[in-house]
Amino acid sequence: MTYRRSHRWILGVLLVLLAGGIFFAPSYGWRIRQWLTPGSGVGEASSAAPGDALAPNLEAQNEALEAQVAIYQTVEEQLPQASPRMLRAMVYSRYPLNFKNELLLDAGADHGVTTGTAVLFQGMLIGRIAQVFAHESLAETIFDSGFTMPVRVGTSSYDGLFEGGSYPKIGSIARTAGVAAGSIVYAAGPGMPYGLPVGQVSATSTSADSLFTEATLVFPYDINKVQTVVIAQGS
Amino acid sequence: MMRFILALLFLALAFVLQFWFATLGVFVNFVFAALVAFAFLFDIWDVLFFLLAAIFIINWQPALSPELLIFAAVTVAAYLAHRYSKWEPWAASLAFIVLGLFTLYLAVAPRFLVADFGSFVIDVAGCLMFGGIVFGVLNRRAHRD
Repeated sequence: MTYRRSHRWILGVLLVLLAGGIFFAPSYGWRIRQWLTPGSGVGEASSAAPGDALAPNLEAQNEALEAQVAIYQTVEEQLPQASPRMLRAMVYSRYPLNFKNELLLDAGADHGVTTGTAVLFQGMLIGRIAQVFAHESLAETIFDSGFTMPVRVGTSSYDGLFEGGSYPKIGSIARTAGVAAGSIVYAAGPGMPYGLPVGQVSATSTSADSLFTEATLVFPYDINKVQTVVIAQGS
Repeated sequence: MMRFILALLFLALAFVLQFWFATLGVFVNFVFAALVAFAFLFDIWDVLFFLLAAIFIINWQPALSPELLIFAAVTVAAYLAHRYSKWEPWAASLAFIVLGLFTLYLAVAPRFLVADFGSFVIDVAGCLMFGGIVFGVLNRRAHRD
């Protein structure tokens, strides 16, 4: 396509504006992206301050509450009395490719967010803060293939290693452990509140080297539809 | 001018499709496919405009990531391939979509290619279809103009 020379300067100005936007005002890009994302709740994240709103997904909340009730019934006596500071945050944007699973949250260093803190959705652990910016922070979710964390499984608190990914699983569970489908999995990793529910065991199998038991998980929410989270600061 | 506006509409459609499929857990780089098709049809300034617009919207964090830099480099490489390749543009654009995606995966997450090759195949298939449609429509428009 051949443009007239008079159109060239318009394109040049747009190029400069876009380059400036990428480096100095990326939040405008996130807003456009929200408009282009079907069912994202246009405008909510851009106008709301942290803590203003929670997604009213009652079904997911109900399932999460059931998971919470289960875990509190089973491990309550062993839980240390912790009262982490909770900071609600909106999801600005998501990692756009399929190599990682990350969420950009609208709370950063100016809200006191620090690297490694737990990120919750309706009471369940969904990730941890991987990178903190001045006004935003990047959360690595449990569906990221790089996410690993010590966890405990079931009422007998069997140790296991949570391995993230599109289909997260628990590895390194002792062969003698009586882990069964339906067992609650909860966090036991350093730097985050102990006992946060992560998910439920859906099935178990023996590892390839026949040394351990492995467990696949189910979750009472869809990570792709999470719009608001809670950052649990302090353990 | 009409072709430029049509390309903008295709880019917007690519964003909607990419983000919509992502909410379903399926990742196809429609935006990348559109950019490669544009690289074989427009001049460098137009390609740079589309590329910066894509990065502005697709960037998910305040800082530029290595992924997006590779994304940009592959798109510029597609333009250079168009300039110096002797292949038919439609064939070269489709070949470059496959080559570009492979380069992107290899540079960003080589383990992913082995661990989840099926996702790569779905990505390539989706991109070839979308890139082919974008190239076909815009190329036909160019002949009309």
